Amino acid sequence: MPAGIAMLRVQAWPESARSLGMLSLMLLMALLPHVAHLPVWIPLCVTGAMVWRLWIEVHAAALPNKWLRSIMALLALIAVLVNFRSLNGLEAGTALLSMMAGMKLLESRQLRDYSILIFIALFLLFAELLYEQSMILLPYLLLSTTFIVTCLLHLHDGGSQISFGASLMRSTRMLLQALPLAALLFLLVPRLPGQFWVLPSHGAATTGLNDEMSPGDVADLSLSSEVAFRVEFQGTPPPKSQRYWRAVVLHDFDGRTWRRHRSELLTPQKIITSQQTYRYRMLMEPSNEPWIPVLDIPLQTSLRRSMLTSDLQLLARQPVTQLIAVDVLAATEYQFGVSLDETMRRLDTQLAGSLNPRSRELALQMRAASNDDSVYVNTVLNLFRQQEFFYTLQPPALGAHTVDDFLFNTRRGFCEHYASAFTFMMRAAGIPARVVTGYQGGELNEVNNYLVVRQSDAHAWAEVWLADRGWVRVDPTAAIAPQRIEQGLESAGTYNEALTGHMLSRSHWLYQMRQNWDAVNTFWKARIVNFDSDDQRSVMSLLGFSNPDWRTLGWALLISFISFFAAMMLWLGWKYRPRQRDPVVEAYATLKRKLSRAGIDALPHEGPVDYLSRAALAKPALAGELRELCDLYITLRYTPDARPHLLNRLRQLVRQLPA
Amino acid sequence: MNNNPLLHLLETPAGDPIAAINSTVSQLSQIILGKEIQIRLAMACLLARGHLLIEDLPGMGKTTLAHALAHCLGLTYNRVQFTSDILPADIIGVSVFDRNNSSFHFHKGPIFAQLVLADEVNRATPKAQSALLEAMEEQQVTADGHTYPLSSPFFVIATQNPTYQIGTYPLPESQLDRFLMRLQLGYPDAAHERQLLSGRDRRDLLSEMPVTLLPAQLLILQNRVPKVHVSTALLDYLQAIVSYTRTSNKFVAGLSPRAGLALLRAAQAWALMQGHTGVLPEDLQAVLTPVIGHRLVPAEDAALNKPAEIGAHVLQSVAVQ
Amino acid sequence: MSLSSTLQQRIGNWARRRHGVDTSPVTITNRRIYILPTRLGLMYAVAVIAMGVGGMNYGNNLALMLSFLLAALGFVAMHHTHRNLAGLRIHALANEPVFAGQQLHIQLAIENPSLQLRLGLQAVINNSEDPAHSQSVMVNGDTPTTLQLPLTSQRRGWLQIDRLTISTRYPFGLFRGWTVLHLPIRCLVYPRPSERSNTPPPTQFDSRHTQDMHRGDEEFAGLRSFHPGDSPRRIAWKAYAREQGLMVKQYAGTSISTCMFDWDALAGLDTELRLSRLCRWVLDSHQQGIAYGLKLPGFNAAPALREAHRSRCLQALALFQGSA
Repeated sequence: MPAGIAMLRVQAWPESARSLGMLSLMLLMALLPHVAHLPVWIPLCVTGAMVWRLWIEVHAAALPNKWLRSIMALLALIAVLVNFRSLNGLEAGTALLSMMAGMKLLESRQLRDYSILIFIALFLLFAELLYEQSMILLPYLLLSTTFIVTCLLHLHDGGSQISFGASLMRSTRMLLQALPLAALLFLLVPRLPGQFWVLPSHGAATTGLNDEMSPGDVADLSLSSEVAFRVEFQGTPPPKSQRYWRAVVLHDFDGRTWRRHRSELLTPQKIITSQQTYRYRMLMEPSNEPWIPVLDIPLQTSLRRSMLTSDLQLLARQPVTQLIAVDVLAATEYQFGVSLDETMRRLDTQLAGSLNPRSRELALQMRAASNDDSVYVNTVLNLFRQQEFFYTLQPPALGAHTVDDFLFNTRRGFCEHYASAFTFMMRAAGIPARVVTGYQGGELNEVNNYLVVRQSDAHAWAEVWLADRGWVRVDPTAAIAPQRIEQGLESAGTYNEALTGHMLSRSHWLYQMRQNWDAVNTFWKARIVNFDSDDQRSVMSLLGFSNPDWRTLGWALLISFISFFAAMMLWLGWKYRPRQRDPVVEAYATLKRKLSRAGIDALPHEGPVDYLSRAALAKPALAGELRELCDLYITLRYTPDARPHLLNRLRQLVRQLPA
Repeated sequence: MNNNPLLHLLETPAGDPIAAINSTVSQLSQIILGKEIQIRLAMACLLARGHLLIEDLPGMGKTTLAHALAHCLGLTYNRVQFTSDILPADIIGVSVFDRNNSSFHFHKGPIFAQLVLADEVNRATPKAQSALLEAMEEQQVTADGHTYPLSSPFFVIATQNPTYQIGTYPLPESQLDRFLMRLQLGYPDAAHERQLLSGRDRRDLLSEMPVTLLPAQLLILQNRVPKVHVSTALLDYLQAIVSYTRTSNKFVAGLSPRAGLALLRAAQAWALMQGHTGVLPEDLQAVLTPVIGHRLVPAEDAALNKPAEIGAHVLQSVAVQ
Repeated sequence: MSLSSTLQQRIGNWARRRHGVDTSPVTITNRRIYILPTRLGLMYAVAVIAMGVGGMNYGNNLALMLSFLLAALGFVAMHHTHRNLAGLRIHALANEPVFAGQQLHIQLAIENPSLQLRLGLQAVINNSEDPAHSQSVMVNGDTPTTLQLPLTSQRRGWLQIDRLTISTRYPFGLFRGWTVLHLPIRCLVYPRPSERSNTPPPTQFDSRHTQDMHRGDEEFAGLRSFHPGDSPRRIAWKAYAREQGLMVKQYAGTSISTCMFDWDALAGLDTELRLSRLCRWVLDSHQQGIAYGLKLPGFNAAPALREAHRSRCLQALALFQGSA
């Protein structure tokens, strides 16, 4: 037990143990954000290594020998391999780096080892930024960087033994000095379009849209209020009811699950749109999926290396792992796919097997009772509207015949259930139909006029092909009467604005704060995280360079480097200037300069009385003044009778003395 | 020998003590011709409660200076001629058994005077020397377990003859800085020499001179010396001087902190004599050579032999602040 | 390391031609400060570039910002390294003479005319790689800091220091700034005194100054600590018994005698051996309070017993050029 107590008395630690403690703290700081995406054994191992190493230092025990260390390193490597099945990739890399830090700590004895630990900490910070670039991380990032830099400084103070606090002050000051140059580099270093290599994507899916929909399964609808994307419209945004963001189109249905079609549909479709278009810029959060939600019909996009499928899904070549910005021109009034080819018709009317017999029967009956397809669509919607269908986020699980079960038994569900059932009813009547998932609505932030679309705005609806009109969007969920929405939405911890309205009133301070926070966040995302070559160009044009190319940027970089160099020289030159002299000395120096110009040089070791007497002898005309000057100077500098008016008189006399 | 100071108390003008110093100096200058600076320095040394070492050839007026100083200041005066067989008891005194009281009675030695001239100290053994130095340092004498305070003011003028080296015990270098100043009187110039040769006997002249400064006044002045204002600028200058001697390779070792303090006291005394309210760099420069000349040992290759050269070198190497 | 040291050697030689020999005190001006990245600095550069390339590849602006910040910090650090040296004044202090084989300390004072603290300054003599020959200090703006660089010389005579390097790795160890000074620092190395031998120094004769002869009454004067070679008859055993250590009784009236140490008296011995023997005699005589003189070819010191005399004799021995 005394061993443990000795560990706890940090004040009594030897100097080397304090250094190690500082480094351990630094590693912990760098590791902390990774805890969220690393298996728990890794931080535990690293912390264990830290405690062990500190124990060794405090108790002056021996370091683990080379064999033990090799075995541990091998075990760590194997553990990482087993856990991630690879050493490649961000997670595996981070895990390996963390384990390396622990291993390195166990053999660290001298400055060089410590320096390596500092580099590991920096790389851990860097890796965290590849995971996440949120604004909340920024203060933490700055804090950790400062701490790491302080450690570097503290270890390299050349044995001066300045306190950690003093090191902290110094490193903070230097970071502040580095900030302007860092900002200039940020603005001016040319950005590359696209990536030239990719780490394998992280496995963990975020709460986004899936490319599958199984309304029958036990629902685990965990849509969060996390932001999916933000949109800034040029001009007025479309009304809320028109804001359908299409992302994924599901064609294949096996009776339980809706899936995307296996091969991409690339047959060009004829699109006729009205003049009503919207131009907007979208900032999309990383989704780890390739599809990009767009407002109905995307006419143009700025997204490089992407494609538009014939069912109008906008797909990026690679999954979106970074915040991206896309400029889109979209139309909300359109006529699309009027001439449906046979493959498409077959694809969107297929119903596998003999599942859901009752629904099929109902569909056939209702179709027979309707004049045409559009009347039939309304009939089905009326079914939802008039019968006792309820909206809930906690629907009961459905049996094998999911649609039958929903339509005739449970009658409780959310958008997926209604979209699924409606599409099924269409197909059962021979009308081509498909499920579209995406987002609906979005909240307009009045602070900065951005539209924020959250994961909780995710939605599913149907598209029905009607002769002469082509594909028509039908949202069966909207047919549910609002009073039939069951309580418990709040308790489910979700926030579905489209249906519940604002849970917080617009005047509520929490609401206002959220809006403000989101505005700041949007600025962060749009201007900092997504700063790209276009922004660079606009910044340069603000500075008066129209259409700058690489060469201009290069020159700008060079010039800013040189100016920073000069500024740094001047600033530090001023900081390190020789100590200031007091005004009496200054006046005397001026006097000496003036007399020296008149040919009476002061010897360095000559006292004022000697010098000024000599001067008075050489310049009898000035003898009176010189005597008074001498008295004044002596009084001010060497006697206790110094008075401010004497200083003024001294200065005045010195000024009046002929040069 | 023992002039009663009380006798002159009535005659002395109770005016400005600084004027009194000046009149003392001018009076002494009539006795020791052409040595006004040395007389002033000796006065400064006295005011700063330091002791004086005069190192010069015989016949230069060392004894006369001491005698005249004692006379003009009305101080009790004793002269001790140091020889190779002088014992500590010959200086500080001896306890004698008194048969009448059947007890020991301490006979005070010549050191119990206000001004003691220790002539040719380097001829005495180190033991006798150290008895003197100890008394100087402690301002008291201890014999047979009794402590006897020395007179106040107490001023020792020691003389040393630089010519004999063999068979003498020159004061060790470490002991030299017990003396605030070391002076050399040197030969008088031709005019003063002529005056000396043609004039009256100096001793006769001296006996006619009045006391110009009373011991009580001297004590007041001695108390005023440490109170003379020292500005930070002057301290900077003093420290620059001290630090120069420590960093220069012209010297084997630099000035000790005690030497710095001595320099300050001497400069304060000089400033007081000049009537300055604060110590000026010129005051410091005036006492520099006598104060540091015997405290610095020049390096072998420094080409600084005489104390005056040492003083001038240090003075010219440090800029006034 | 060898490449960098060769480079430093080259730069040092070039600097010597460029700046000439300095006089103490010397001010480290901007144009004589050289800066190169250290190995750690190169590692840092590689790490920062790797982060920059990574950030660039992913278009990850935050990662880019981190690497830019670190890059700018390196740049700032270079300026601080430079400023940490600039303006310092180096004083070469007087060096105490030593005996050959003894460790001597080259004394320097570093003065900082600014108010900013200067950290981690390192002074190295003659590009020595031995860490024992360097010293790290920090200098604040108030008083000069003195430092002592240990050095050992086996040869008597003047030990000349031709090159003094003041360097710093402050603040982060990423850059090493240094300046090479050619201060006229030298230290006198006396010959190594020979072993104490039983043969007493020759030519011991009584002083001509017979007036002091009768002083040999051997009055006890005090104790001093024992030095090897002291006569065992004089050891104060009572003091030893009181556990005051080994002390020697001193007598005030020890008879005055004078020695004359003559180079020619040691004929037949090697030059260095002769000098060592003479050196030992001088030391012993001085310690025992016996006046002594020294005769060397081209040097003659009359007997005396003063500190300066001792120094003069030892210097003559140290700088002895040969009997020719």
